[in-house]
Amino acid sequence: MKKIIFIIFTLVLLNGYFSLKAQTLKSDDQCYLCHEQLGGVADLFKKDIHFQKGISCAGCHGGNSKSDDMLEAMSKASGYLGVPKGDDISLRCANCHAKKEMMQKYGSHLPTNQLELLKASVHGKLSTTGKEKIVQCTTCHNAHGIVSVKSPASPVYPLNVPNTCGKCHSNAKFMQTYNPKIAVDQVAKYRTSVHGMLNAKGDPKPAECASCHGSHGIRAVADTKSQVYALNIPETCSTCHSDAQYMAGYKIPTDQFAKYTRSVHGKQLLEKHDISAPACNSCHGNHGATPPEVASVSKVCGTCHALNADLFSSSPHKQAFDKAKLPECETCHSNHEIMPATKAMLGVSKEAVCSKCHTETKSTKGYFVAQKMRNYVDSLDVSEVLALKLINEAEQKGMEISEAKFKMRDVHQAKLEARTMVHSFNEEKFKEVVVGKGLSVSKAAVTESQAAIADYFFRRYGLVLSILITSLLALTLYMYIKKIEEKQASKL
Amino acid sequence: MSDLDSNQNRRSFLKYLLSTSLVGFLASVLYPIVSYLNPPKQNEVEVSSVLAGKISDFEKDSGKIVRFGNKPVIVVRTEKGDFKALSAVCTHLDCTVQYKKELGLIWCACHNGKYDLSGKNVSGPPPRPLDPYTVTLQGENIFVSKKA
Repeated sequence: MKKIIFIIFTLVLLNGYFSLKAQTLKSDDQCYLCHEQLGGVADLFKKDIHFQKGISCAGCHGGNSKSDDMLEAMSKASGYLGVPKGDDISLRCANCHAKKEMMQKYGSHLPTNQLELLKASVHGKLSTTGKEKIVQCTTCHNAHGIVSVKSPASPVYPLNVPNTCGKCHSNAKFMQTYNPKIAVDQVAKYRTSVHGMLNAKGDPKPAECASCHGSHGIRAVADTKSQVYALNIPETCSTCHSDAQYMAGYKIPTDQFAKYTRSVHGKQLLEKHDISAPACNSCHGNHGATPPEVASVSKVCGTCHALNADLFSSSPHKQAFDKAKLPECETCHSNHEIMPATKAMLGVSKEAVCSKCHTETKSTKGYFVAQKMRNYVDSLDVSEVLALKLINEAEQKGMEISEAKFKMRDVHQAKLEARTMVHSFNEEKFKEVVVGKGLSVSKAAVTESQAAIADYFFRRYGLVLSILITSLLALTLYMYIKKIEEKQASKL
Repeated sequence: MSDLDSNQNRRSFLKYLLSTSLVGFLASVLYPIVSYLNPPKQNEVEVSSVLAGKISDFEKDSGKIVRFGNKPVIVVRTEKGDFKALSAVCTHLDCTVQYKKELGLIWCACHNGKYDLSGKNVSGPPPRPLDPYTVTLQGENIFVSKKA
């Protein structure tokens, strides 16, 4: 409690100090006094946080603000710099904003690396004129009416950010001058998003442009250091969506990121760094981020899993799911925690998703079809394991079995095609793939490798037999010669 | 030591020498035979070039899978009559791709992955392009080899 009273007291004191400073400045700042009569800029500057903190016009423009002689005040000898242009603008701001001691002098605890970040950003690197970079501090913060970021009047206050960015990013003609391919509908899409709609209602917490892209250090999407580079998107979204305290009041779960990291998509992206794997924005959209509705789930998944979506749409399940208002893919595969589709999902066991709706007494046709489908897959698995074992054995025995080994690719393919074909929920079509394309090849490979192994033993036993016969012959010859020699010796 | 003892020692030494030599001889004969009967594990033979067929085997706007060692390679004859050879192993989950005439593309039946005729992945889940192979025409024969 004492601490809070102390902070309030300090703030009141500081406020009084800076108000007094502004009053003093107003009375003896010749730049302000003169320009006040002209209106415009001085009126704006009156509300400026810098003016409030006692910084004179000379702080940015140079010159002698104490002199009422215009020629003297705005002379080069007095250090008058005039209106900064191009990259000079940001450098003038950095004169104070990049210096910690200077910022502390005015009671500010703002970071002092903004210019550094801006220089490394896409805005600080690109130029349309070749002279100055496309964005200066004033582009977003304004020049004379700069107010605190926390003030709703600031162009970079969360509610105003989309329009501030949109000044350039929604201007097709301007954007074309440096990237003709870039989209200019981000703000329009944002306004359709959940974030954008809440933002429009006056809630400053939901994400706006800077929440995902950063503010001073905005980098191109393809830049691996960008917050919105494919690999970084899940973590960027999770900064808010995994923060239970921040999300309190929005009535949505905060375990999406944790689930995603365990999912097949998350592992592919975050562990294998496969940037073609879906991140949050692949299903929810980026600027127009919104949860896919029941009817559009399959379309969203179908952008990548096109065959599965097509087969499902023409299957009997389509109507049943529509009737029960079940989200098509999500019902069996879940949403954020999508696990690899193994055969355990198929069939009538407890783990199988089919058994959620089909039992021996309810929706029985599906129950028996699921059971048969699973049996086909199990048979193929058993046959594949046996075939691979025999091929390996034949290979190790030095037999030529490469053709059978090559054909086993078809078994692998049949298993993958079966994972797609299962979405037709048609037993005949499924059987054609599993049995017709997979099991037949696997069985042929078993026969071929068994024949190769049998041939191996035939040849080897033959070799042993021939060695024995040859040895016996040699021994017999030896004994026969010895006998002849003994006979000859006895004759002598 | 008597002469008899000395003779016996010499004889037993010779017997020992003879039996050791015999064991050595048998081992040197039997080892290759046993090794032959139980061959060591061996790597697959590396293939550098294969005969894919004759030009007349390929109609224009068609494709054919050929074996390249233990990997499939797809040889496509374009509408213009040019030959292209690419790895037929889909970069998504290792299915075997095929030429889809109506699309003029290489297509994977497993998950609808599509590649253009230079092997670039253009649609669907494949994360990267198909590996290219070199096609060499020698008279009527078409040879496919690995790109250097």
